[in-house]
Amino acid sequence: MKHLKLKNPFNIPLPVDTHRAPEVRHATAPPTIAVSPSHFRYVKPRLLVKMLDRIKAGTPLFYDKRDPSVRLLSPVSGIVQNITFGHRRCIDEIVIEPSPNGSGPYYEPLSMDQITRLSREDTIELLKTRGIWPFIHQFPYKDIPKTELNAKLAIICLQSTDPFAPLPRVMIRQTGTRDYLTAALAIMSILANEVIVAAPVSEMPYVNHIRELITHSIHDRYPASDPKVILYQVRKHPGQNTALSMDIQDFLDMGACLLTGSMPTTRLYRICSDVTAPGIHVLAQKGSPASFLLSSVCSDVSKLEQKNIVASGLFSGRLAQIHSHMRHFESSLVCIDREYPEEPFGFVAPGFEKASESNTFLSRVTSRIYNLDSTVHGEHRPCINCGYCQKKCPVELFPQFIMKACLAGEEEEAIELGMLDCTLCGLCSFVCPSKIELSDIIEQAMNQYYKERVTI
Amino acid sequence: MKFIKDMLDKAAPEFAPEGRFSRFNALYTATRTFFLLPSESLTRAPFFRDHLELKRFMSFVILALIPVTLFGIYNTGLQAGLAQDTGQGFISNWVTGARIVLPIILVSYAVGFFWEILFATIRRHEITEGFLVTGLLFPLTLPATIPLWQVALGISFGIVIGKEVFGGTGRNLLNPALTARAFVFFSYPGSMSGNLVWIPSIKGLDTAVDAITSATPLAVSSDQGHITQLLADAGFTLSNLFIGTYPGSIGGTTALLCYAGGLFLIITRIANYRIILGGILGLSLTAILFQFWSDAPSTWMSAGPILHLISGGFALGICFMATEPVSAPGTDMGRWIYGLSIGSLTVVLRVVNPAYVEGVMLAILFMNIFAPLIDHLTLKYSISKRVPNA
Repeated sequence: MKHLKLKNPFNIPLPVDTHRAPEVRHATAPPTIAVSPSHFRYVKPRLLVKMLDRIKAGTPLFYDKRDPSVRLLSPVSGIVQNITFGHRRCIDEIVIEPSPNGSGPYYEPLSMDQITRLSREDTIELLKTRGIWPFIHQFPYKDIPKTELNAKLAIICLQSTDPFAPLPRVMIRQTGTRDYLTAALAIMSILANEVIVAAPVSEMPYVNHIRELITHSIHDRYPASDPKVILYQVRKHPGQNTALSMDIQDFLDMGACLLTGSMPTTRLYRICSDVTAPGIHVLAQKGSPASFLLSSVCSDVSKLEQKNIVASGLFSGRLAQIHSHMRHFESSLVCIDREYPEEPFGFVAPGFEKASESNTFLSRVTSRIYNLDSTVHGEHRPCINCGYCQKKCPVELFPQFIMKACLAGEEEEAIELGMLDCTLCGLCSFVCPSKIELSDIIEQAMNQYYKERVTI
Repeated sequence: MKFIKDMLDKAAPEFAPEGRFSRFNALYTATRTFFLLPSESLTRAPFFRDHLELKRFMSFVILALIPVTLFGIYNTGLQAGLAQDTGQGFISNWVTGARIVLPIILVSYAVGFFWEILFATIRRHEITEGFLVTGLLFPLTLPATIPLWQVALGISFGIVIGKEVFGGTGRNLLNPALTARAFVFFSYPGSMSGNLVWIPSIKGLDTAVDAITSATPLAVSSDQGHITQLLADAGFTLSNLFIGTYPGSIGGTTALLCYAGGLFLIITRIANYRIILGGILGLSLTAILFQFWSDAPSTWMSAGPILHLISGGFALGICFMATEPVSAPGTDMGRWIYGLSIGSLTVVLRVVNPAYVEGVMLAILFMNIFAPLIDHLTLKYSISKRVPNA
């Protein structure tokens, strides 16, 4: 097993769960669930259902206008209660009220033998009919893979990129995991020439029973578990830039769907009602409402409305409204303070409590978990070329030069500087003393470039 | 604190977009944020941010400069007293020094702030903290006898031509403090170099500015003897030069405190160590080369690295001027090249060019101009090492 050394890890301590077997709560059935088409980046959805439609689990909800064979299936049976639209009429949520005794679609279960004998075309067909294809990402854009493209590499990491996501030791403990993982790996090796399975060093003692399936061990710190960071560390030639990857929970679900014939309808979520605590694992229906998940760990949810609720991690997540539903790839909720007082002469305070990657606060000599908050800490200023962003970039880019190229509209220069390697980890925005939204600017430029160059 | 907050809150509507003084919003914001550090709520990922911001960043440079400034004040008083054998004493040195140096610093800040506020108001951008450093660095590079109107003119040139015409903080090609010094240096050479400028007369304080003849160590040379001996004869021992108790520009004499400040900036990672170490290395290597090839033992050509490191304004320049990030290259390799070149050019200018005894100012300004080119080339090189992705 190879160990991948992470360049420029995030050093501020985040809460760590040291339990061998953290508690998992089983949530009841949620009142509503939702599927979010706008959450699938670059997909141009065409709705296949309308309000008050009665649907069954496995009914297609929408297809991608770029490739009509790519469809997203409903995870549950029920009634389409509402369809909400967001900015520029993008479809935000298809809200479904699950019927109490709906059952999932049953496909023909496959044996390991049958799986390994599948041809590439059959595999793609199979994944598309079972609605799994949209869950596969293809780099560099994390788009749904192009069918004709033969990937050189696939990267699976047992830990999601998000440091607040459910821990591998909890996920792997579920029954059947080993078989599901083996089956999913067999499918992946049909789609890609080489498959990498990575796990963080801290999880190694807990995943012994699948140890021989793991090819690489990685650093514990954020953002080592980002598949794009792993890609950067193992990449040998440009052909590998179009590597595939999948969220570990989707990957296991894919294995389960093939072996058992039914797609799992639940997902493991990690809910942190306080940013200084490691949080609680909750097994709940996919697409459950945020308020519903929070109520399973916190008795008074209304108190949390005073805070920012962030879905899928503090670094690259989304600000979730308390009544909104979890998106497909999201598996964590973190509540963090929304306000920070105006501090008298704050710029000269010794700062025992202040989280910082710089060496300008005395908190540098202590190593406790800080009470983090969701505010800017300072004012927006022009870039002073200090190079802090560069020192935190996990793929060794020069974020300040890429940002300047993006703002100047010099797309080609940004690409030449390696913009497409950017993992959007958000660490450059985090450290910037001038509070420039570097990763936001780069993300917008990448989306723009995708629209202009990649789509026809 | 509550009193200040209440006052600021009360004044806020006047400076709001529809208020009476909406034009001066930048001034209000600068005042308010000086007392009360703001922290607005985030709506975009990442959903928490580092506590380091530009005010703290810049105040660390000021912090590192305070010992240098204090020593400059003391030394100015000491030299003035020594030259005239009057009122020698710890306290009186401070008093005399402060009476000479503080007006220079005050003029520099006052005139500089005027330009900053003017540009911020007209261009409707915020007043940035970088000026706090420029406004203090510039006086430290001047001789104590400088007329105050030249200080005002110099800082005006530095702020307006050196920074604001390029678009303000973050866009300046040259270090504003050094641009200001270069302006005064070339426009009024009589006030900036020569034997007459280094020690102010105490009597002169109350009447017109007067000065006493004294050479700086870098101007020491003769036809015979070794440079070390010549320096010692002129009263410049190694420890003397290192601590800085000799006539020279206000903040430039104390190599000890400048390097200490540089070390502080390196440890806190405000300054990039590559530039400082590169500068020291470049200077030492070039000095050693000259020492080997020199056929004139009595000039600075044979002085060797130690003397070059501790004399003149090199310590101040490399620790505080060259490390200004905006005008320095943005790549690690570029910073090494930049530092090495500054160090090396400093020695070349000092020993080869008879017109200028001090070379660090020109070396830094020269490399400032080359910084974008260094960036361009080192970026090209770093990219060539990556697996392409397009």
